[in-house]
Amino acid sequence: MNTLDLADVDAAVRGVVDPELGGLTIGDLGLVFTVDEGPSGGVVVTLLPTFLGCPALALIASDVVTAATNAGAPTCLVTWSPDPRWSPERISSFGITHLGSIGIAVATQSAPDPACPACGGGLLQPISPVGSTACRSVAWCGGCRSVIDVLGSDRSCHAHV
Amino acid sequence: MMAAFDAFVQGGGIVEPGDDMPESYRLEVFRFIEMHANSELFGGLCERHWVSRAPGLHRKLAFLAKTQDEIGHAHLLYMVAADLGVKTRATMLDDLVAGRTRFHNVFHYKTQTWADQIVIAFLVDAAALTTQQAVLKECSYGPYRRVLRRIVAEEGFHMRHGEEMLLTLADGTDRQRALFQDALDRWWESVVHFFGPPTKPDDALLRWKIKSATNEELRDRFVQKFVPLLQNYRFTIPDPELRRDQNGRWVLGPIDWTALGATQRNVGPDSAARVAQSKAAWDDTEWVRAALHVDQDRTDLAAVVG
Repeated sequence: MNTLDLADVDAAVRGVVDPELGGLTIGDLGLVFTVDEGPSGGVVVTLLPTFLGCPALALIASDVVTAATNAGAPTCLVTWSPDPRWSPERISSFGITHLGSIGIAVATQSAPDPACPACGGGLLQPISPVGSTACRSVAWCGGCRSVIDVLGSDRSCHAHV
Repeated sequence: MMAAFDAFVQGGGIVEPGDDMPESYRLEVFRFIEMHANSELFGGLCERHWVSRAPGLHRKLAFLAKTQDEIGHAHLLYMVAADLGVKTRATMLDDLVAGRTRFHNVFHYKTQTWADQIVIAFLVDAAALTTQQAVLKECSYGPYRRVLRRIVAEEGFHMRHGEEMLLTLADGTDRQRALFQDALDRWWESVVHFFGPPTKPDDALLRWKIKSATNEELRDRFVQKFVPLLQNYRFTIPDPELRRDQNGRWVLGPIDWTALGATQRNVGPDSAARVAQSKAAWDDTEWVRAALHVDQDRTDLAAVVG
């Protein structure tokens, strides 16, 4: 057995694709908190859920175990941690662009009112506090008349976590 | 004007809500999206009944989330449909719960066992995904295409969940395997029907690139993928005339369209009960809408939400 290369495992874990967001990785989404070597030589991964009731948690954890063991980890233990709380600030700039390309705007504390990602300029008007999942609200762009999901506004996931 | 419009969409042009469009195009796009929205809503209502009956907390959570997804998809689609100005969202919902408009054939049958629900969660979702991916690729109506991108990403997740449930039964006891085979025997024809009867050569949806593949092409894509997959799990496809042609492609036996015709007239085996359930769900949630409608005095929003 080769010695464990934690950097390889870390990259593999961050490269796991989120099952619901059209190709975005959990690394870009900011779900990966720590990837460490455990006491018995295996890998311990701590992930942060966007919200605790997310139905994809089991699937993501199982994909992370597969990715970590494929990258050389002898074993991999995944824990979902509610602390620190996941927030949209954790999404990478690539992630924000990718989400915009599938019609999802990202609201952060420093930019709570994002512009419409479909036309780039329109003002988003809130329509519904929850959308197809509890971590997103639904808004309408009066500019290009598109329906937009807003991830991470105070109206949605923050209230649920 | 019509010839110029045809050339525009056939050349890959995208139509936006503010653009000039022939009234017949507006109506065709509207009907297509309304039918999709209705079917998402009925999918959610159907799945809802399995939240309490699903085995185990993990499955219950998944069904709860899936129900929310389907209702959420319907919500997005009704907004896109309402913006076309043919009917308001309220009218679309009134028509649906009164049984005046159509929804997908698979929701006209009773789900009798847990395995029936797995057929829906796996095979019907796979069939829906096959058609949605084809629309997404080339659809000429911009807002629908943008919304579909999100819907398709989430439906892909549902299908993985459906496959995981199927695998549990496929790897299970003889009784579990028999349960799925029984469901497959009863549902296969409806799944084959899901893609619709053969597309007519002058089909307006194809000409205007609202759809980019014929019903037969979509059915064939599904058959080539899922016949071998189900056989690989050692299940039997209930079609005595199923065969492979000289190129090794799967060919279904003749399809009897009688049952599909009944569902299209809302007189399928369980149509009346399903419509009544949707009406009850709609009436029971009136108080929620009443509470939310406080916000709707903003005229631009009222135009959308109806």
